[in-house]
Amino acid sequence: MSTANPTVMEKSWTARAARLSWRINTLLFLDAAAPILAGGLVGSALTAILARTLGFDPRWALLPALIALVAASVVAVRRNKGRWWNSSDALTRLEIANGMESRLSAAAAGVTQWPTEKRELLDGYRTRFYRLTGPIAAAATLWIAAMIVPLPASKDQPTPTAEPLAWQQTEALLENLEEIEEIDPESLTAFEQALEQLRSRPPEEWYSHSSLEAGESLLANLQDSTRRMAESLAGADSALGSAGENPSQSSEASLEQAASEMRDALRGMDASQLQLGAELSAALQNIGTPSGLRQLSLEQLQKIQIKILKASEGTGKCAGLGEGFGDKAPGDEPGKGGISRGPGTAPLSITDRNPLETPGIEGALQSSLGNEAGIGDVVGTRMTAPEENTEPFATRAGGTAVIEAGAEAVNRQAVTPAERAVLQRYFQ
Amino acid sequence: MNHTPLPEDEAAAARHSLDQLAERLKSVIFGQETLIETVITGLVAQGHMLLEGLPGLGKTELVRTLSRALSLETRRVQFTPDLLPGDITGNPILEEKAGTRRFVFQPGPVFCNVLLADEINRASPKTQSALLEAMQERRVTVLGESHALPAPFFVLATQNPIELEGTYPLPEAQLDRFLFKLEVTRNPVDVLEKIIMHREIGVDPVVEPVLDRAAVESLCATARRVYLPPAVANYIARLVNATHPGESDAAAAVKFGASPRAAIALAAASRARALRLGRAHAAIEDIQALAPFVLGHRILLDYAARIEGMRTSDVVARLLEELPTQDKSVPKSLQALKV
Repeated sequence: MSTANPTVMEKSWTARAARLSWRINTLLFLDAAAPILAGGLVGSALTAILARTLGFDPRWALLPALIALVAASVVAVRRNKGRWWNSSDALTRLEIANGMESRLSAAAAGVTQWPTEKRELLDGYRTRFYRLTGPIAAAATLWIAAMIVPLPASKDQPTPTAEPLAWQQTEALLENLEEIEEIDPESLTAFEQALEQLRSRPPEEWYSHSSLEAGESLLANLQDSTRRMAESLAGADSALGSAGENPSQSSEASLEQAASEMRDALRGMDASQLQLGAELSAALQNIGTPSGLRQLSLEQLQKIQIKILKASEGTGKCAGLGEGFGDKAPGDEPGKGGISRGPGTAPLSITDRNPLETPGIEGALQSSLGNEAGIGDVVGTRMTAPEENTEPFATRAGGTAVIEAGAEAVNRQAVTPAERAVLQRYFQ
Repeated sequence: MNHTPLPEDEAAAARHSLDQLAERLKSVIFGQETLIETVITGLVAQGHMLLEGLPGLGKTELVRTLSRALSLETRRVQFTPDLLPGDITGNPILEEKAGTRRFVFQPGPVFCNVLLADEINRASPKTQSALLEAMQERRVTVLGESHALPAPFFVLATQNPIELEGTYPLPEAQLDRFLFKLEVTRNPVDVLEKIIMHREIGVDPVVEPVLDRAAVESLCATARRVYLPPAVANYIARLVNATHPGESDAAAAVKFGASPRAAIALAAASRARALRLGRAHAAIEDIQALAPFVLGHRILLDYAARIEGMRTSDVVARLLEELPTQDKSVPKSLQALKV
């Protein structure tokens, strides 16, 4: 290795050593700091997302990143204490990697001259920074994305602006019922109070399961009461029709039938939570007997009929029984063969089983137990005498087989034909 | 401890002289170039050397040729079991002169420049130990009087690894005083052919002196001025430390590692090798080249390793392979990433 201008060579080698030491020190720093930096950036990104979601200033997310940077620096410095490279270390590395036999160290000590720098000089390290910076870059990308990518709309539970449908329907139904003069307004008060009680709950709970269920129940109760009232009013109207146009001139039998129908209608009205007005209710109570009907003047009868018809049409409309509810149609009367003549389809009658075929007590018991018993449940006990095992023992004294039973039978069946042949040959 | 820096031209001149010596030895000893170079290195490092090999491979011939080429006074002692310490160091002789009697020290064969201790392992430990002071202190003490040995003083001992019955293996303390332990191997066919063509039984080759005693001493002094870079010194320290059990994977089978004297010997040997190659500074390459000869006989393997046939040279070779040449090497975490 020839020598050249010593000053130039010294500067060249020194600069090369400085570059190498800087590169190695950077690697050392990144090796220690990369996990912390990457973790800090990821944490910062998550913080940014959280801050943006909650409406805080996302710049707060810089704090974890800065903490991570400081922590990474401290860890890197402490961990690499005594391992940082200086120019002398780099020169040693260069001379080792290039087989220069410590010539650079000797030159740095002033023992020999600086050698001429090789063009194809090696330092023995192929630096792949991306393997260390890759995770940091990925975390930084995540951080930037967390800061700038628009977030979806807030997932906070909004205050409901619309009441549940059942409430609205209940309120509408109550309003309609209030318009019917013949209905006692006080009988609607219980429903209104129940509705107000539901409304008084926090809006966030309006659409909770219990709230919706209570609203549905309230609506169903009101509708049921309305329907009952409508049907009862229709029954009362029918009873007045049965009494004839002038009850004082009607026969005793027709008056008796009309009074009976009127009593049925009154019972239906009692079953409904809606109540008629006091005047109409008292009038209907009076005509619940043939004598009461007979005493009814024509003018009173017409007046009551008008009120009942009006109330019947109103409640029928509210109950959704349609237009013309209460109108007489051919065949509607009992015994006339109309479609509504009978009690209608019996509930829960959709089955293949003939209800007339009874399974008997034992069958019913078994069916009931079989359907309702859970796994492990005791479905029954009985007391019987133990069964006696009448089969003889497989072998007798001396091990001689007597009959094929028990273990011997199993043994014989387990032996393959080839094995059986071997055993037979052996014992022959 | 570095002396005045050695100028490069002075190192080149020393190399020239040693080249001549090597050529002279190679003209007599065929096919042992590495052995010759190592012996010259040991000579320049002022170290004692132990040559081990089968009989007839040229161990004694090498020492005799060396002494002739250097114009040094050489004595040869054939070590036998009945050899006494006084037979080496010398004995006090009762002398009567002018009517008075007094003991006069009669120097033994150790008073020379090159002592050839042939088959040293055949002497009793007592006789072997007589060499201890001579090798380390370069003086002999008899009846309370110390007698300095001439300078330079080298012990070149030989031993053969067979016929071990009736031999006394050298104690560790004495082994440690040998700078090198060199194994002399047999020659290949072409070398044997050359030996046959150039040598005859009973006819000693003529060896003209190349260097005199003063030149040898000057070379030895020059070698001490060779610069030892801190990185090389660090490598020596780490290498010697790694020979101890628990300090490295390679030393797992080692019972006792090398001593600090081994580190000093390695440093001196590396300086001598650098001078032999004309350099004014030692290098890590010198350490790697000489470590097997310096450390091999200073490491004691445990029983299991010896039973398995492991040799100390295997341990040293593995150490050289495993130990990073630089203290501040790239961390393992970065190596794992192949950064």
